[in-house]
Amino acid sequence: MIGIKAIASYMPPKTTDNIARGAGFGETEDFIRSKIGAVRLPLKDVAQETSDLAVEAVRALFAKQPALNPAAIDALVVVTQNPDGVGLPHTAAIVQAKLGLPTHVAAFDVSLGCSGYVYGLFILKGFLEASGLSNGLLITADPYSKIVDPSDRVTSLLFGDAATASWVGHSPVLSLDAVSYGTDGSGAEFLKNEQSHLRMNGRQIFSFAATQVPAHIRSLLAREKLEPDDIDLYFLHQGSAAIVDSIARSFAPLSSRFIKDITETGNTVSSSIPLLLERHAMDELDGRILVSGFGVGLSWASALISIQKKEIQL
Amino acid sequence: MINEVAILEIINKTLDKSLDLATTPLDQPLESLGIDSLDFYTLLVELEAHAGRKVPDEVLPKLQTIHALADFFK
Repeated sequence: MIGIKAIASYMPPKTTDNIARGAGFGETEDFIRSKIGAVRLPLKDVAQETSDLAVEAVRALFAKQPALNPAAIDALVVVTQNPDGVGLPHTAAIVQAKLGLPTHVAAFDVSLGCSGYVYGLFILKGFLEASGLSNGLLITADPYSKIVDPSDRVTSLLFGDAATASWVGHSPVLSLDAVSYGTDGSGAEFLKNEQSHLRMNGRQIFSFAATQVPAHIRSLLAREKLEPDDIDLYFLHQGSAAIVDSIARSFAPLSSRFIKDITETGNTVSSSIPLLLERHAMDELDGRILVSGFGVGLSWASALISIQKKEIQL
Repeated sequence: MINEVAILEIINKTLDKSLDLATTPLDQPLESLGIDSLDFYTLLVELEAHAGRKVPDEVLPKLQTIHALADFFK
């Protein structure tokens, strides 16, 4: 059984004071804290490339998991829509070289935004199984600071830079049980890179998240003959506090099972779900989790994940 | 039917507020009622669900009071 064995992350030490930035747009501290959710936004150095963030996350994974031998890595997938340069060559190849990984590694990028981690998990799982391989690295690194216009009040309060690295392989801590995907390209214009600047129709993206995502989650649960109450924890993409709250509210009285942890990160695109899993799932003893990523495309994906029961060491 | 009373009920339920018809200025900007931009998006989602129709983006700037919302959804 292939699933997630470990997760590590990297956040640039430099941060933007989001309350001060919000004040510049006339927004109150209460609005920033309660609706946006992020008090600070991690910000990469201008000289740092996407691959540099990815490398830091993988190094953190190696440090956390001494059992993971770099020479045993078979596949490396980078989820990003803000690659090094203009994406040619693919960032995964650059990361392979910077890490000094062996040349037998299969390395490729996946171009998805906030749904990218869920897609990436199942792409990598299927790739490893189909190829008879054992160890994969799923990296998320999508630094939106490359394309966010600091003078744009719609986007500049939302996004933080981060990268994560997940070790995907046999005998996992988190097993990948079921998944469901969706795409509505008719909404592509609502969130796009326009001449190197991110443009977002906040109302349409909010409406999409608040209506499509709860319906999609319920559809996946029904397909798997589960009730919302059968899920112990819900890990949604942390688009903003308001989006997480809106979706959670539609599952009342289970809203408290929806993890919200965005204060120090902001919306880190495809990194937000693995950041939540790293912080709130990997050390749980057992349970059933639902993850849901949604955003640019419009694209969405939700999956059921089981925490493999651990023996308590006495 | 979505009228001013129904809108106030939806605001109170969805946005956790305590507005009443007697004291709420229906022609004042929603912002003056403590409804910020993200509250407004939340409110629109609820109103659209109740009414079964979408609000076009180009109409949004005109829907900044409870009266205007009620007129649109009537």
